[in-house]
Amino acid sequence: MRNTISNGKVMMARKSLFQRIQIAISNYFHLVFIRWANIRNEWYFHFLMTPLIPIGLIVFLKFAGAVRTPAEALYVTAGNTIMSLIIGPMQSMSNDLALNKERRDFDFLALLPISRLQLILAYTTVSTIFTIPGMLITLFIGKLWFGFPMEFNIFVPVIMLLSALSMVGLGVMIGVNSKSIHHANIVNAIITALVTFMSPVLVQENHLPEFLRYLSKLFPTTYSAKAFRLALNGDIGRDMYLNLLILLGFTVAFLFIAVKKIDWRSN
Amino acid sequence: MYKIEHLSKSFDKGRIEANKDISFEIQEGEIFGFLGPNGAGKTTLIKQMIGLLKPDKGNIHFYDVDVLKNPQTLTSFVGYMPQKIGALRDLSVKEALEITGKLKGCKSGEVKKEVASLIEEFGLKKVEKSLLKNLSGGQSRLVAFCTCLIGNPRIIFLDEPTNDIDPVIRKLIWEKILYVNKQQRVTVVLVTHNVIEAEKILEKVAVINDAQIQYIGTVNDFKHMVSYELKATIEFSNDFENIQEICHRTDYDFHFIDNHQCSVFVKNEAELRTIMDTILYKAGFNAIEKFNLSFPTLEDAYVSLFKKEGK
Repeated sequence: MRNTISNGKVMMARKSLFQRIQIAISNYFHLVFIRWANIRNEWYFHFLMTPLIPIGLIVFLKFAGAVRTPAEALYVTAGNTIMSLIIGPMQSMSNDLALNKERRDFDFLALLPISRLQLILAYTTVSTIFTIPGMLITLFIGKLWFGFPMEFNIFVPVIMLLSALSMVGLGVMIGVNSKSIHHANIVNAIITALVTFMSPVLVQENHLPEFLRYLSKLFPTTYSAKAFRLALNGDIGRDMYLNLLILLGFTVAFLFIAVKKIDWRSN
Repeated sequence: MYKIEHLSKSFDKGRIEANKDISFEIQEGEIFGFLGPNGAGKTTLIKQMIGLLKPDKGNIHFYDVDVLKNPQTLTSFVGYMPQKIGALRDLSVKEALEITGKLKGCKSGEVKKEVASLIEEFGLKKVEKSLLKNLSGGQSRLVAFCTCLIGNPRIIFLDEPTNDIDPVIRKLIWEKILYVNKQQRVTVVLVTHNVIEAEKILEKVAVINDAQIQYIGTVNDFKHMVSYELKATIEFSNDFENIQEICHRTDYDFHFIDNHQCSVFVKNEAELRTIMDTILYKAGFNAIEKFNLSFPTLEDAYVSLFKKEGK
């Protein structure tokens, strides 16, 4: 099944779809292991840190009197959760790749028969694994404290996973194109500020200035937060499916650009 | 096997020219070395050959594969030893070697056997559970060398393979390179400054300087280019303080290692006789303590080439 050279010609082995899937899955798990190894000695720290900011923000909003009704509480809690799910893996991806680039790790990785998508998915898996439990804790703390209705259905984890992946492609673009990890951090901070305050994630859509309501349509966070709130409310219908579909579109588009259109080779 | 045509690469918006119109070929089974001063463009060149850098101009073919269009094809055939393998820095030596083999598509059983054999051969048993990031520079390079060999590559690219490595392991590495080349027909491309050691295994060399190839050919032809046939190494007795002055008064280019030791290249026996006659006439018969005659080495040829260039 290995590629060979015969009579001065490179002969690529023909692999069935099943074999290709098998190799892709196997490579994916090996790459997950490599990424997991980076944090295996301090994993609990990452696990504890992720819910800290969303929970802290909820507590602050509660004491500041910004959250008065259970509906508002659900809005803020769900928005917070989605923000962490989207921004966390994006930042992690861009920082990882910027660091890889700085350390010239691509010199080694690029000469392995692995695909960029496998690498992206493996890196995202590790950052998401540490984000999702923290986010679930945030949701349950929010529910217990504010008493808002919350329905846990199959769409909740689907939206969480899709949200985690939605801006990872953008994270790749930042990581690959940044000059250093510090540069990547600055760009990440700008993007985080943009999506936090310019889309209806923490602030309700009707409280946003009119131009931001239009501008927010360009950010996947808008659709992710909407779909997530609808799913948590048990409001599964056309509106939720539409938001989910747009979120999927963003995910695929960013990943496509990151995998196919960006030149990862450094200069 | 490899055909490079009119390759050019510059950095910093064309301000730094790393490679300028470089063309050459590498045949299957060769041990090919790139020599040249620091910053000459050797690493940039091999990075383009394996698809890690995109050239500004030119073509690179690996057999019938256009490397610029399909760099991914190389992954099945090429082993590359980078200066460091930071991507695996949090894995242990054994984990790093095994995972490299598995990612290269080898079966788990084969990988385990190959890794065990490499660990044994290069004395890595004591550090097999240590994380790569905790190894010394030499040990890291040794692991990088081992990852490059895993998975039966058809061609290996080695960038300064013996830097920071102790003499015993260095010898093992050169022997291993020779073994994989002769026994497994693996083509070897290496960049090195260690000309003395590399001479033992190199068959063909390309000397790169100022982004261009200054010489390409067999090691023997390169040595003949020196235009000297013999190298005389002379050790003078300590009693002669003005010996350097006497030597420099001749028309030959003496290289003094210290006050009493020097070497000189001569074209033929007649020239050698002239030199000896001059020294013995002016300094007396007791002047020379030791005298050794040898053929020029690759290092001599290399130094001589750069001397001609005035570098």
